[in-house]
Amino acid sequence: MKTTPPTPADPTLLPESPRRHFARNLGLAAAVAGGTALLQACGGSSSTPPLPVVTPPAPGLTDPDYLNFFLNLAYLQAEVYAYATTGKGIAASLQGANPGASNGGAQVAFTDPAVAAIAAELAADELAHVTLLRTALGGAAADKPALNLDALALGFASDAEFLTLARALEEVGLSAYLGSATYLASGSAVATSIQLLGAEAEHAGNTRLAVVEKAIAVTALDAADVPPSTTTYFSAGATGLGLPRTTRQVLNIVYGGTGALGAFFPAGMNGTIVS
Amino acid sequence: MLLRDNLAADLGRRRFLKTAGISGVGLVGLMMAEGQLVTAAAGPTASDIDMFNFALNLEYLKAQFYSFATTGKPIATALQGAKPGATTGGAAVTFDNTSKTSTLAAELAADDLAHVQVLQAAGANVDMPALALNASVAMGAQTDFLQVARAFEDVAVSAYASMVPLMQTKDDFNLVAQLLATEAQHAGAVRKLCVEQSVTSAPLDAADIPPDATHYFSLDVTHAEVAARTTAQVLAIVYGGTAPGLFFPLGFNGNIK
Repeated sequence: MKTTPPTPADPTLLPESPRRHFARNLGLAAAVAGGTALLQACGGSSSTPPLPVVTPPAPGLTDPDYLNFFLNLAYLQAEVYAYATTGKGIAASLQGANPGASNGGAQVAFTDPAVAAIAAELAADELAHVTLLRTALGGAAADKPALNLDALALGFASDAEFLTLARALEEVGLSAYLGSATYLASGSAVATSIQLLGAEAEHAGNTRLAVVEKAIAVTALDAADVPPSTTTYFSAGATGLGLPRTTRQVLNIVYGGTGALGAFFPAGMNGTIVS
Repeated sequence: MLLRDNLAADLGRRRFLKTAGISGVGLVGLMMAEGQLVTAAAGPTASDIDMFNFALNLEYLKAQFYSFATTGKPIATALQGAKPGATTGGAAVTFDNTSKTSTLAAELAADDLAHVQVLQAAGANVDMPALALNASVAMGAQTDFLQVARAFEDVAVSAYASMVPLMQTKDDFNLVAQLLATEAQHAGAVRKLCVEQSVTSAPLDAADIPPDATHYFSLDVTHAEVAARTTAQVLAIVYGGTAPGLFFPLGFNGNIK
């Protein structure tokens, strides 16, 4: 049972590692509204990927705030995969009363049946996550926000594009759960988020390997990202640990910058954690 | 003794059973309810170090298995503790040159060796137990390697998934969550190779979802979550029953065994 609330006296989410040390990139912090996102420059060799320092969230955030943050990401994933596999978005009944519009998605003409099969599983899984989070939130569930599925200008024209986008979304999902589950108060919210973290990480492990197998060149999502390569199948640093991101670090990726909206979320996320 | 706990009542989806002690006798029979894994906690007396030690036993198994598979040799003696148990059945695996299996194995070996070190640095202090690496199948063939690795990774994922919410300190919570994130990535990749190489598996228990062409992921059909297994449920798999055996002929070291 997790009983320890986040405290300003314990700002570091990452456990101390004897094999790494970190230096804060204070320059970036100054550019981030609210100061909740501190990307961290790695103090070690260039072969050691940098990991973010995760600072405590703003006081007063509650479990539904975080679950809605996760729900926004699940909407994005589910919508991308629904379009990729069917050419249509998720059911209207799962979008809330006043959902935003989705743009840029299209059915992928998969050439490799295995990629199509994986896409179908991703679509089902993320739809299940939307359903689960909406059920958990009940009347507090955020509506589906406006989504630009073509924010990276790729995703739907080939197997390789799809895998590139899926890899990015799963990596973000993994790091979002890993960065915020620690701030949840209720045991059930923690347990659910941890099991969803496991699902996102399985997805990441699969899609990262697919990217490597097909020799797809992908770019880093941010300074902390470790893109899949022939020597880096997994997003785990030298200590074999998964990468957490703060909510702001997640937003920096899905908004395409440090603003309050953009990229995948042209009108921003819905809910409380939106900037 | 089992006490029903409505920990998850507000999500209305799952019931948890809490044990009043660690013995866990009879828990294996309680794994399934309404098609879902019922999660039983390890009990209020399990400390974070107890849980770390439980995890370290699993990481010893995996690190040793991958070390032998990739090099034919065990992990460094310095990492095994003062009085490690004997390891039997370890052997190098013959990997093909076309699939990504050998590189994957090397990454698994590095990651799980790092996990042994991370847990020891975090306070886990049990010696490496006696291990029978060939308990389910002899080491040497790539397909057999994938089948065993798949089992190990899925079991580790489920062990960490139930462990994270039980951790007492924030640092310990985050460490175990980060370990989970890596193990689940491992599972996702190993399962993919199993499908590609037509490596089939019998279910490990009632909650297990072996990989196949429509199950790249080991996620339950309703919520698409990973399974969370109690320590007793994990032991039932790696012991092959309720008493020490299979991969751990003399059992785990530590308080949860």
